[in-house]
Amino acid sequence: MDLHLEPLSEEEVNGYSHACLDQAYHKVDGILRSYGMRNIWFRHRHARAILVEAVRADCGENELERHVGELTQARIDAWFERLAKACGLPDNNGSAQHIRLAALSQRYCERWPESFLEGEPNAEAVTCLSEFRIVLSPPLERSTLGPSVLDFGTVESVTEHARTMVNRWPVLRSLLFYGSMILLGVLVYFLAR
Amino acid sequence: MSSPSESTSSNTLRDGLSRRVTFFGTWALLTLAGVLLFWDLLVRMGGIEARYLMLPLFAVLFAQLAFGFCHAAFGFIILWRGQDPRCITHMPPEAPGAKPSGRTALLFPVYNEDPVRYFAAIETLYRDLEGTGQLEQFDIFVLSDSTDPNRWVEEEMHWLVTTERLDAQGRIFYRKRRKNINQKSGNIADFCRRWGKNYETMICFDADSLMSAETILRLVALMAEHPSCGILQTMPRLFNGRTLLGHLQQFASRLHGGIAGAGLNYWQQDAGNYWGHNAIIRIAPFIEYCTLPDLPGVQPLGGRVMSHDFVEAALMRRAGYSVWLAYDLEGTYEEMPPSLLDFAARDRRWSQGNLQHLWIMLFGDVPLLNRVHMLNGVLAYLSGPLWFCFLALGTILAYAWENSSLTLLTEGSALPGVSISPEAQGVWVFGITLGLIFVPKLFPLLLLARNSRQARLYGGWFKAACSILVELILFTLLAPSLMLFHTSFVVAMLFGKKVTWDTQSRDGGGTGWLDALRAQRGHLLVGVLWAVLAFCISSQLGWWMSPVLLGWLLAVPMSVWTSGTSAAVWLTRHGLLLTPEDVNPPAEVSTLLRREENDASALRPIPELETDYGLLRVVVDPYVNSLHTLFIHPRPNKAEETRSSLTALSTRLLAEGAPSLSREEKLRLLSDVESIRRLHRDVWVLPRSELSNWWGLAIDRFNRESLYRVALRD
Repeated sequence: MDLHLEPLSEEEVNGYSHACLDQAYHKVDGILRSYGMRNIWFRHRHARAILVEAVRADCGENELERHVGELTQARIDAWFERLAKACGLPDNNGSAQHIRLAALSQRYCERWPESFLEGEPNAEAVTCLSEFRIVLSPPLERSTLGPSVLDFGTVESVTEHARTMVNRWPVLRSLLFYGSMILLGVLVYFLAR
Repeated sequence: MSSPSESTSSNTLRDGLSRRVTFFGTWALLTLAGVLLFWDLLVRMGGIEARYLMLPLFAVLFAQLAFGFCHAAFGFIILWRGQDPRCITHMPPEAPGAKPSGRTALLFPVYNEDPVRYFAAIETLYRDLEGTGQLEQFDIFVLSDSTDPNRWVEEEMHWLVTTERLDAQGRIFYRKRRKNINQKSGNIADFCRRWGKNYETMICFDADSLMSAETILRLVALMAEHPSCGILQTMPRLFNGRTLLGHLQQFASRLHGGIAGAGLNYWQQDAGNYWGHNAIIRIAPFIEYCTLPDLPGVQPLGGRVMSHDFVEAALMRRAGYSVWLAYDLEGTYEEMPPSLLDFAARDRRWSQGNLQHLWIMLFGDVPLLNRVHMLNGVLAYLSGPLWFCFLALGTILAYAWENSSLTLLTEGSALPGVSISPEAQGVWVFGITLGLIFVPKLFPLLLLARNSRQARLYGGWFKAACSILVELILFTLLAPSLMLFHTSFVVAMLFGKKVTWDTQSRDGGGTGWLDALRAQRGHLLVGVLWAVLAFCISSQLGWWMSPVLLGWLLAVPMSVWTSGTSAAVWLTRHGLLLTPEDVNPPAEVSTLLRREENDASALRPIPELETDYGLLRVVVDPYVNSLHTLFIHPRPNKAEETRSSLTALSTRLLAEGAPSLSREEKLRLLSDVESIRRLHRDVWVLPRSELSNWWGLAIDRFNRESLYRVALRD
């Protein structure tokens, strides 16, 4: 295997500035690293291929970064769909998330980097991911809580009535407050005289 | 469901009754003696009539002290004589040889706690249970009510890492409630509604508690052998105290807790209490009979029951089930607040909960002995303001006396056999009161003197005695501050100020001088003013009050000093304030601490990103993003308005960075599957120029932190 990190040729650069290509390259590189693609050679190969494809689309320097991002995500999504299918999972959002989690959890990109994003999923990996399960909660066995046995009916109505009365008439409330303050003052005077 | 009370033997009832008569009779006699002596003293002293206002205050405070003293005295006698035959761990089983008919759920209700700590406890517990070969009898549930976006994501990641590490898929479950209705009690109730039927019993843990597998198995076996037992509470030992206050609490609780537990069990027997965690509960009656009532009125004193545990114990007993305290079971632990301010914050929550019990105690149809538990809980917080009033009245009376120009006449006592002078009688009353507080401190020393092996676990008998002295001095200085804290809590509650649900601090970061001053400047001010007043009235009054005054004057430095670790390190290095968990740590404790230390040493995010690190990971990391979306229940049919508001939030998040969103906005986004998927896609697709600098930094750091991620997954 040739482990040379091949740079872009003049033709592949297609007139894009070095800074723009560098930024786009780092975008793809970052996404691949986030999936655990630690192998620099494979990472470079994918990043290069995606960048070349994006440059060919001739979307302009301003859009190149966005375009490579979209291309990378599209490739990853498509590959996870293939992986889910290979693992015999139904075609829905839940399966897509499950297989993504399974692949990340089982470090697919580290263990089988050569089969990430291209070709058929590794057979050993498919077995390993098919066995991966995640149980969030046990089966529901619903119960109904019994009714509350403590009843404060009368007490509640009396206190609520008193509270509403005090709240409804601010004058009464202030009278109560100032009355208690005056009483307190009288008490202190009585004690201290 | 048939009530098991019919199976309770008449012997049990008779034993329980005779114990209660003995205990409460002793307490009543002691209280009566103290109150009569004080009343007689007031009569003999003369002076203004207002002095009689002190009598009811003294009676309540003295009765409470006597209650504590009786627990210690009865507990001491029980332990001195050996083992209590009427402790559930030593009683003949109701159903000999019975095996558990169902499985047990181990519940960890959490609320914005550090997941490193309780997942370390879960791992310790899991491996311990695995070692016993009984793992299949248990399922572990982490029941999250967290409202901090960071904590939420951290919990999910720790759950996955832990289950993968332990190969515990299908054994450890994580559930996050979207809305934390009724807080902890609602959290447990939600578990009971969803999965309660799958289990016979449940053991509730706190985020900082731990139990050994052996203790758990023992609890399960005891519940099987005693089918009438609805709740079996253990007596958790405090551990892992790092600060001085932490060491003080764990030393005091370890040394005196066993004696108090034995005393408590002496009278309560099958009418015990539930303390909210480290207890096993029979689920079926809990579901059927223990639904909490809504209290009359609104919070703070009405509305939802905050301290649910006492009420659940009362309801369980009301349904005919017994509630026991297994005070002698080892292998049950919890941590404590590391500083005085954290201690006070916890007390504030508890005080509101306990004062709410007044409704149930006075008007609820619950068994009498549960009312006693509730009254004791209420008085634990009311005693603060009562003590304050007592001191205030004492000062006023001293002032009135000093200005009356009266001289003390030696009037004879109205009590038979009391032929001493009023001054001597005053000293006697004071001495008896102090005796109720300090004599129980001698009980553990007597027990340790008989058992040198046990004494060695406290650093030896002499060191234990010195530690008690240290404990006495420090708690005497801290008590006046706590009294003012409790007084302010009660007054705030009476003015309708309710308590918010905050996470208890458990790490010991130390209280800063400014924080202490801000929280306790009132204490300092009260101390200065009262000291001036007392010494102006009479120097005698000032000296009498000096321990309390000193506590207030030193409130701020004491708060700072006791929240630090240096004094604790010095004391323990010199063999003081040691507990058996320090001297000879049980396997589960040392494993937990080692595991916690390892997990905590993982790389932390840089400060600029730390506050929103959870959100960052969900958005940037495909691993965490996939995990998080699996946990959220998708709701595809959201109203157009809701959808567009979520889209606007996502756009703002990417354009302005996570710090620009409020906690609620972040939670809204994190609760929506579509937004999370879109954010993950956009953050990687959008050009850097369209993202805020915060996201630029986040992506750069994320790329660099791959090593940290590997560490997490390992």
